[in-house]
Amino acid sequence: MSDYVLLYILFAPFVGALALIFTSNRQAMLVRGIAAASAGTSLLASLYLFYAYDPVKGGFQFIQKFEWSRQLGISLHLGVDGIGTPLVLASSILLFAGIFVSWHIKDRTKEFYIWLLILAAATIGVFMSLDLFFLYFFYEMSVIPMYLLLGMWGSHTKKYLEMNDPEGLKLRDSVSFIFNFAANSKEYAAMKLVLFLSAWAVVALLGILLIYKYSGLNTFDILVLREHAKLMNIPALGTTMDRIIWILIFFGFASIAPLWPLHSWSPVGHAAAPAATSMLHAGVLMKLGHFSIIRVAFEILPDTTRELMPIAAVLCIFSIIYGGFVAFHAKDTKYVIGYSSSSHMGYVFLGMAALNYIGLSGAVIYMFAHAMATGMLFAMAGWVYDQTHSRDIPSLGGLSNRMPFIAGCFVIACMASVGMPGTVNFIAEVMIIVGSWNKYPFQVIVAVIGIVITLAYLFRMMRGLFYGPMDQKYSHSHDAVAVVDRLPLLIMIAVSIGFGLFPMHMYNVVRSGVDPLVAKITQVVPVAEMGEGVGMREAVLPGRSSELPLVANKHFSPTSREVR
Amino acid sequence: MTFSLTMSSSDLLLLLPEIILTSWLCLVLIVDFSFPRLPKEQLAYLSIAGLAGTLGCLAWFDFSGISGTLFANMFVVDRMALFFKIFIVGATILVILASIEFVHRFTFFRGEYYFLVVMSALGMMFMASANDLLSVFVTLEFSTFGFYVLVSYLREDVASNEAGLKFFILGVFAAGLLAYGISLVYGETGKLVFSDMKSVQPTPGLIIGFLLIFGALGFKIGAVPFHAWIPDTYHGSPTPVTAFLSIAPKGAAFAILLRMFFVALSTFKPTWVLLLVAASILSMTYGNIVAIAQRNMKRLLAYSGIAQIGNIMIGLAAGTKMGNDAILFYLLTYLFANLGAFAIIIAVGQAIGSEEIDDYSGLGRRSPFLAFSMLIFLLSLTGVPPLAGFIGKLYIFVAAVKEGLYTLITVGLINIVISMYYYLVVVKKMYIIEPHDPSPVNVSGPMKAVIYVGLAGTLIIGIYPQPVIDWVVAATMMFSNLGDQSVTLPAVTSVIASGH
Amino acid sequence: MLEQLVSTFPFLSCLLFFPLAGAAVLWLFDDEDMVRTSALTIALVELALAIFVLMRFVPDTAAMQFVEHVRWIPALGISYHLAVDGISVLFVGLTAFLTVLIVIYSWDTVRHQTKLFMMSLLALETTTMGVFVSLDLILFFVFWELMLIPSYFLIKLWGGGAERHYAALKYVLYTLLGSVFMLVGIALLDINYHTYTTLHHMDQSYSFDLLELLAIPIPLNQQILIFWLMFLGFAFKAPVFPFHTWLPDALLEGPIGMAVVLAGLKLGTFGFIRFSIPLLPEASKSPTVVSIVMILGLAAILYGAIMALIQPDFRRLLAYSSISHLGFIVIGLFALNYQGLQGSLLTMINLGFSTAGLFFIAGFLYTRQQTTQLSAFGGMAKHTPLLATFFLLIGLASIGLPGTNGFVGEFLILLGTFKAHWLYGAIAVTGVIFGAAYFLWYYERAMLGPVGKAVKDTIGDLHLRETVIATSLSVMILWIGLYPAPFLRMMNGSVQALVDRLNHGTVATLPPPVRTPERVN
Repeated sequence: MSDYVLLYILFAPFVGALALIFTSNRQAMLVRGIAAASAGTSLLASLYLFYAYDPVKGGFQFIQKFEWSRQLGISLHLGVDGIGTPLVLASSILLFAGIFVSWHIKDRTKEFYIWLLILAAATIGVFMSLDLFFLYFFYEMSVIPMYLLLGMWGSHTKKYLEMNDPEGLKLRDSVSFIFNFAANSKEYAAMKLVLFLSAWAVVALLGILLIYKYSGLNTFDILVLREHAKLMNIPALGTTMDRIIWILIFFGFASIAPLWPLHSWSPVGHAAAPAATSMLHAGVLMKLGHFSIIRVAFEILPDTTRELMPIAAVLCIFSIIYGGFVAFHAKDTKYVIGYSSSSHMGYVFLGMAALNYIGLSGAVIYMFAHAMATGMLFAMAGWVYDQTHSRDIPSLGGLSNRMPFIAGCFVIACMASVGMPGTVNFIAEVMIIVGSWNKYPFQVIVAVIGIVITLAYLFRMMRGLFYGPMDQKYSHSHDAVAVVDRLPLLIMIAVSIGFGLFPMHMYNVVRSGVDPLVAKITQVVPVAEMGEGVGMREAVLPGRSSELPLVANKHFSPTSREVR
Repeated sequence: MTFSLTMSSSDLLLLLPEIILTSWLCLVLIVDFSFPRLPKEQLAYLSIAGLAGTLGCLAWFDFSGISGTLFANMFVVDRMALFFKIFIVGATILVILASIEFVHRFTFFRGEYYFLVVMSALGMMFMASANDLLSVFVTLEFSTFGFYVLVSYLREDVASNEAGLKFFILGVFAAGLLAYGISLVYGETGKLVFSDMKSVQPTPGLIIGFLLIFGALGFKIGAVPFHAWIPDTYHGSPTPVTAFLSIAPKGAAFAILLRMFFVALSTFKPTWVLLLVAASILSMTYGNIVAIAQRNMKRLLAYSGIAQIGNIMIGLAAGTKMGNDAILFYLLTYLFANLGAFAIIIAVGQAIGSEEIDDYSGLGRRSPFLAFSMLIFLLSLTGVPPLAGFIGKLYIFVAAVKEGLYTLITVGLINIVISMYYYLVVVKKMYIIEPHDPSPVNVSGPMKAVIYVGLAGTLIIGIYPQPVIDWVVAATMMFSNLGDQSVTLPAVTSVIASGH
Repeated sequence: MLEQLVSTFPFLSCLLFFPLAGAAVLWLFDDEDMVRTSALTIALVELALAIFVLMRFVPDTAAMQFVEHVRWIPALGISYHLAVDGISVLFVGLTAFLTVLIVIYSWDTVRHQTKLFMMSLLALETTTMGVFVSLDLILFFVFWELMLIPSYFLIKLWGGGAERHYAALKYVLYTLLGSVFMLVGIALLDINYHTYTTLHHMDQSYSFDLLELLAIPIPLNQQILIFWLMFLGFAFKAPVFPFHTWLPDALLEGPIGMAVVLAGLKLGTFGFIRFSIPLLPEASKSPTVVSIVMILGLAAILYGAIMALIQPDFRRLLAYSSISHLGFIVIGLFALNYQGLQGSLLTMINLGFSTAGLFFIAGFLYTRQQTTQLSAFGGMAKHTPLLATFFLLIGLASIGLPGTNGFVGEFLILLGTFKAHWLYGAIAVTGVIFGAAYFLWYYERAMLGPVGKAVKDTIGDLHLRETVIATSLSVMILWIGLYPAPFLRMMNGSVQALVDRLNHGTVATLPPPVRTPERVN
């Protein structure tokens, strides 16, 4: 079992999708059952992975390697480290939750679940692939299903019907339409999303190809390239080539994160997407960006990273503030959540830019935390939309009488998203702040102001949806009572609060992934950092004991630095 | 040079596939004449049987590694020739399968249709083996001859006739160029066989001559600026013929191009690389941008075909063995995706009698199977994982990046995105827009077969391409002198990979 | 044996989580009376616990008592560290006391969603307790933030005013705005600790634990920065003068119970004396800081008093008067001498009785006239002698009449301030006069004189529950007023230690805990 756990996680959804192809839409329950079963398998396996991962040993574990193409030097090389593990877990949780969130989809249920499973599986694939080719392979593979999910099961944003283009729908096929930013149709959103992401993905691909060429190793294997990153400095072009490659990789992947100037596809996509898709999209798809940057740029080009990462520190300010303000003025629930997500991704970039243990760990934990929080918010926005067929905050209100459960969960979700103490988000935020203050005090101030803004618009939305007078036409809307409706929310709440109260295991796992990376980038063999994190104070103050320092002391001993 | 026309049994053996096919061709004709009552489907299956036999024979050659030359190097049989022959015969089989339904549209000469198709296939097989300029000319004309008729087969249809005329005039023009170029080259060097020209010095006449030859072949593959005939011809001619035209001759032409550039002209590579880079950039960009504006499926695929050729020429421009591997590989993926797409166009055309993109609205509801397959094929043409097209494009780009053709790669990557747009527009029509009339679309058996083959090829090559890669690499062994840089470092790799 | 058991029993955790558990229990009941009675029981038990803690508390020492220490997130040096000392212990009692009174008051004044109200109230009590008893800065911050959630709903759902939604959001946002800056401050303390330990090759490299942070010197410029960051956090909560704008709204729109908590429990100023001053003594002493804060304090005194003078609405008047009182506390704190600190500390407690009491009075008036506008009153004393009496007593306490508790506190503050600088003292004194003025004037207009038109003859005097509330408050007021010694003795030790720390520089380590050995988990 334990050796192949990655394969289970990765291929369970694919197998599920395959099985779904041969079922008929008439047996709706069977379809849902298969989807839930495959997602459940993946979830169980990734839970096992998360707790079986050994932070003391650190490094890449559960490695699977199959030669795929000798001539191109590609192999299906899977493996997770402390950074990938929590994200894999997050993806499978969100997938499982998403299956239930979209339980009531009537139209072409089968196809929906097929594409959803493929989307999630591809995302998981990115998080566990140790081969540049497959990283890109899964990355691009996760983009296309978005198009169909948005297009076929999505919904138009408000005022879509008032859009006036002389030739009616025809115009939506023309190039000019792509640049028509007034457009709110789901087709437009889907097209924009896919083209945007693919456009930047090929930029990243160019970077990957350059790495492939200049490493001169004829392999896409990240582990190999990482060891031989020095070969990158070819005398002809010198380090400038490094810079070019880094820039390509960074912006190529940052587009999906989405970093500030490249974010415009994201909220539109959120708004158009069905609930489950938004959950996966905001929950994990965005994290592909940060993760790929860490996995490719940080691993293979550490020196250039140290040199150029301030770019991210600058841009993240705009992400945070801009996203926050737009979210504050947005009227559409999904726009609010979408922009809030893109604003929160700025925090992750800030933590990454700090390039130290606490900051980077904070960033990784924040990805996990944000996945849960945003997942909840989108799930409930979706529920409200299904009930009222409206996402227009001003026109809604007073729903708390109709759906107390949802209202309650919504409060919790808002708190989580703000980073209210007790949720894992809080811990992540504290770590990011602590980590990045020394380098970027200004950004930290911006970030904390961003927290306040977040609270402002989330409370605004909460009030707009659930309190105040209720329009009578919504009196038919009802609460989530069935188990299948409550389960996803409860799962995500439990995870968010559970890790908020007992974060140590996740922290250790993440640190085991982050430490070697930071040590490599900052090039300090951390002598002073030896006691970093968990205290060796036990030596001094006997009596304050816990199992963790044992982990920690081994974990941070120099011997364990060579684990990778 | 002296032509030794004495044929030994071994020579006959080398010619065996062509001989089989020729004789079978006559058989088909005879059967057609002598049993007029016979339903034409039987003829189709008859010719398919013949082609299958040929295919088997070729496969046997390929496995047992039979090779050699005939007629003083005019006719060569090597792995590459065999690859292209298999390619062509396979394509022909699929095309014939796909045309069985369509043939009912023809008022008469239904039997001859199959004859002509197989005949041009035969011509292209000879093209694949052509190893000197004379045989290039002869075989090229031989294969094109069949198409002149086929393109204008719908006699009542004005568009078809127009297509035929255009194709004929431009084709003949190309033939003229070819002949002129050949005579120039011969006049300059006194040589005809590619392998003898290795050491020739570039003189103006020679260069002009080769440019002319390249132009003629450019007409065949439809690269910018020799693409003018493509859209109208594709649009007008019977759809199966379009499918045939869109894939088989290009393969054959590439066989000749590879031989010409890498055997004959390997000495002044720097000169023609520029030429190819220019042609490739033009084709990709022009094809994709114009394709955006198309409202007709066949025209869309015509322009996207131009762009695809541009992609393939990146591999040619790389000018390495790996580049050639990539070209062969790409052609295979293109075969499956493109033929599949055309098969669907035929099927839909049969059902709703239209090839306009707007009429594909709601295909996802009317026939999930067709829509899904179309989706797969289009995505493969775009180059989206995990489909064959993606691997093909990546292979080409890897080959090119090793040669440092950054401009070319950048343009190619940008074009992926552009092409994604217009392919997705079709996807949108099929899945997102609701149908005008929701009546389901039925697909005939043979058509299903073609589509299944296309799907299988696209998916399998996409998910596990290694066998195919090995095949193409073996096929281009003759070019291994081109300094193959794709030598993997098993030692380093394994050591490091196992280092943790 | 029993002693041993008792000394190791986690009283503070019980104190902390008992109300929360109670709230959870309330969820099960549906019958309104059942809910009320059980809520009252819970509050009373909590009060008993608090009193027990107060009785077992050893006065005249700066030691941390009832210490509980469990490591929570060792990697980040976050721990679950509870303890009380002279500074915080009285607040524990006060919180429990006020909660009981609020429950009693809300018996019939809260008409809808009683269960939810009681639950939020008890949750609020837990978080407030948490703020007072936690020694770990992150833990403190956790409760500090969690307080907002019940407060938000209390104001929003049970507030009387029409603007309550706005008021609730304003309150939450302002407080959060401050506290995120405080969070940065906390992070900075942590970073400073990290760098120090790293330099000196000490082991544990992150800590948010107050006692450990106290043992580490902090460079002055750092101190100044951190001071202002934390100042923002506390000032918004307190609220200190320029950051006060949310208070009148919250007090006016929110329910009486919430107003009592907001005005009665001086969390912000507690934060100053608990964290800012001990952790950042140099910064607190630095003349710029002192002068700025002093000026803000004096501004608050005068501004609050003058604004109070012209308010026709009693609750708004109280809002401004408590701003003015906060000014007193602040200047007392930043006099930075023994009298000043002790006076401020005592005044914080006093206001818990007097200002809170006045809000209860306002509530009584409100239940009678459905408003606290002056126009609705006049000559009330004729109909409601009891109400008038208590009103006067509590009012006089709030303006610091000798014999009431208010006098002791204000006197000490003024003493300390004069010692610090005569000018500050001189200005502050005027505040006292204003205070007397606005209260007595309002009282005179509302209670005495001819009976107002709006006042009906049928108007009733205090009934039993109200009398209980008023009486218990008055008892406390007089007790502290006439015999403050026990309370002062409780504070002495810690205040003395604080003063020493201020005089003898940063690293003044606190004496080890007595009697209750540190709990090992």
